[in-house]
Amino acid sequence: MHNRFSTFRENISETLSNNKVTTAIIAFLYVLPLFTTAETSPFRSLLSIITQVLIFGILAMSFDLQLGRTGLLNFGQAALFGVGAYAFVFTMMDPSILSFFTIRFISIGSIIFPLPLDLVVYFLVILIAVAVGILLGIIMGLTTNRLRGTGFAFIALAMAMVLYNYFSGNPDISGGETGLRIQTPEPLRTDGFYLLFVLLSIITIIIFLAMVLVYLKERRIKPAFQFTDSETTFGTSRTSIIALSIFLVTVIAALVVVWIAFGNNITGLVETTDAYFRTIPTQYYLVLTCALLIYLFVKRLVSSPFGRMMAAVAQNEERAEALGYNVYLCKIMAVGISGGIAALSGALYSQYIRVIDPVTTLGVNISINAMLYDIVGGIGTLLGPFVGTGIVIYSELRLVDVFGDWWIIVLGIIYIVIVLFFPQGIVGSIQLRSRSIKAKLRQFKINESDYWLFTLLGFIILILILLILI
Amino acid sequence: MQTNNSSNGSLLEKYPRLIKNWKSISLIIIASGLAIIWLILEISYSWDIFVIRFGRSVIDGLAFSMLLFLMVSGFFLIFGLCDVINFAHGAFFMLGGFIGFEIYLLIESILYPLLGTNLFIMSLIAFLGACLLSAVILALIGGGIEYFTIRRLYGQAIAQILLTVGFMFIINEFAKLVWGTPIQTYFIESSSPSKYFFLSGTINLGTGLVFDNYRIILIIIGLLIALLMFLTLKKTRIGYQIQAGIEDSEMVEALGINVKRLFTLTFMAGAALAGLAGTVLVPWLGANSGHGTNYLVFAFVIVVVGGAHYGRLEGTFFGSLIIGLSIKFCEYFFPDISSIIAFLIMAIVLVFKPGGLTGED
Repeated sequence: MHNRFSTFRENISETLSNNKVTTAIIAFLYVLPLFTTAETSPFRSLLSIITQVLIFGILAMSFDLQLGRTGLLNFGQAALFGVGAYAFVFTMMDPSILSFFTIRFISIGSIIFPLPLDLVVYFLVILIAVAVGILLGIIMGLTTNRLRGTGFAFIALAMAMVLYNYFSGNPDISGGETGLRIQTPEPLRTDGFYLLFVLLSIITIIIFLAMVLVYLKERRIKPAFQFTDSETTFGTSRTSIIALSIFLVTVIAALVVVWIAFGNNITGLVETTDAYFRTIPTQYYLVLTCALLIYLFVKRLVSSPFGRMMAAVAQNEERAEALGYNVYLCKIMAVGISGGIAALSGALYSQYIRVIDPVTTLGVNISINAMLYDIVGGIGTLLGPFVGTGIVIYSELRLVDVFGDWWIIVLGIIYIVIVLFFPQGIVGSIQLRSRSIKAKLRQFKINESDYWLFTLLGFIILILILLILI
Repeated sequence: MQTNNSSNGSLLEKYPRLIKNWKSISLIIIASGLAIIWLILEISYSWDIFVIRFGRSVIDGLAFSMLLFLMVSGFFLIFGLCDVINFAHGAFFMLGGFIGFEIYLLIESILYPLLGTNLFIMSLIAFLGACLLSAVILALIGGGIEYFTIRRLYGQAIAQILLTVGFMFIINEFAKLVWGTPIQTYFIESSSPSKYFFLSGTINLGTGLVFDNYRIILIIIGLLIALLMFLTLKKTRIGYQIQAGIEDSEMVEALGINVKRLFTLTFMAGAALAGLAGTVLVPWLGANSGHGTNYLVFAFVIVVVGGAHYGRLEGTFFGSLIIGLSIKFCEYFFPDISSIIAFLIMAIVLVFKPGGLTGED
């Protein structure tokens, strides 16, 4: 019992000390909406932009899963994205899905608990959208053996064009040029959903504090860190109890501080109204949580045996085949998984933008944008898609001021320069030079364990700059 | 489909490769024959209307196929020889259309005061000049792109695609900025000061068979250029080199031929063909900034149908015929599926013969 607790604690502290930068940034992103008070504050528009960045970041991530990890160039990414968006809207607009649920409440004696049916239906609808994306992805993946090498780009693009032509040719299905309107789904407009995410953000704060504690411990007793726990069982349990109580006290103090600082905002935000700007923090939280889950999923996937197989296929298909891997199945699965993720981003996008039409969800531009984000950020990296999306979307907003209508040409030229001279993208280039950067930082007495502090500071400054510029 | 039929008969003795591919050819002939029979039996058109529609779809289809062949042959040459999937090809085609359109107007505005009385010669000179100049300008653009950027990336297939997509993006957005969004289509007659184009007008073959002059001329132009291309490939030294390069470019390099120069020349030729095709399209369907993407997809479909890897130009020719004719047939007889028929044909070809008509499986 004691042993298990100790190893569990060790695991947690190890995970935390290995992922300091990620934890810091995620905690900061989760706290961000709590700063918003006024409905018209510039913070809301910043949150809206970050939401958009995260949605397209998920799309770019799904594209990267094919191009960066499996070496498949899919120009039909728009089809997967648009199918997700349309599947979400169709099932959301059709109330017949509610009829599957005959039990509306649970009654124990005289107390009646209403089931959160809206929530269940909402998640079911998202799952349906993802399932449709996976299905289309598998169908796309089935064609990968038909043409060798880069021929897959042809077929995927052709499939996307079929879908696009079909949807734009049938305005009664797709809404035509004016588009299909949907309301913001019911759960996003209720306070319970928002409070759920506030709870999640408090949990991230707690994790962040734990990380800080681990960091402080690491800094203080660095040389003795390895064998303090394995001295005697009695000593370990005592130190652990002391550490735990200190930690709990800190957490409670921090929560009190958070409540005093943001309590006003939290209670101010949960008044239920239908206005669009009300739902921005909820949308933001939803998309952030999805992005986090996808990030963790892809991180896990890439380091799994299947991820190794994908890397083998990307490097040399014949060799992978000769080693006994089923290359074809691997490709199908990669495209299928990526289709599910792209469909998720489409579903999130449709409720974020609330009007979908064939051009903005199924058009070739979506595929090209996904590729642009991925290449600028860096293919085959975990953070690259998000960084690239952020940079491109933000520079879209800024370049308009500088170059007028010609900004898009400038963007294209930047893209070509990146393809020609920095084929690894921004994150990839930084990773390539990481050793020299680390050495340079060590000259300033900055250790690897301190990075999170500076990253967090840099991130906060970045957000402040963006806030001022907007 | 009947042209396809009759030309096969005479070619069979000369080209043993066609005999090798008898399965796919006969499949296509049988399928199209069944489609026509089903059409006659099932759809209760009156005979006259059927003849009119049939005639129009044949003429339109042939003209459209020739146009597609002009564009796709450049794409095919670049793909076959350099192994570059040129995503910017559709953009070249679209840009060629706009450049030809602008040059036509420019030449006309110069010649109009001089040859104001003889509109026919003025228009003829302007059109020929537009075709030639737009081909030359596009060749320079294509050659420049190959020489300065793509040359660095031979051997990295995906990087090349990403690069050409970048150029496609830039050219498309440039056209949108300069000439407006795809809602706007530019036609020569309505834009020129003289309101005259030497090939406008119709030819009447009686009983409602009225055809545009330009489409018939387009078929002849297309056939002539196709003949010229085949002669260049089969009879000249550089044609031999290109053919050998498609088979095995490393071997060609080992034989002491400057493959890099050959690649640049092919790129220039491909871009020039795209520019020419774009200009030739303008009097019929106009110049439009959305043409780039639409026709790029046709190029993919035709190359897949005709044989992508180690395929031959004949495959591209017959592929364009099949796709162009079937699209126009569907437009006249089954408008519902006219937008997806090309992809259906591609799917059928991929299922039964993944290598295309002439390529290797």
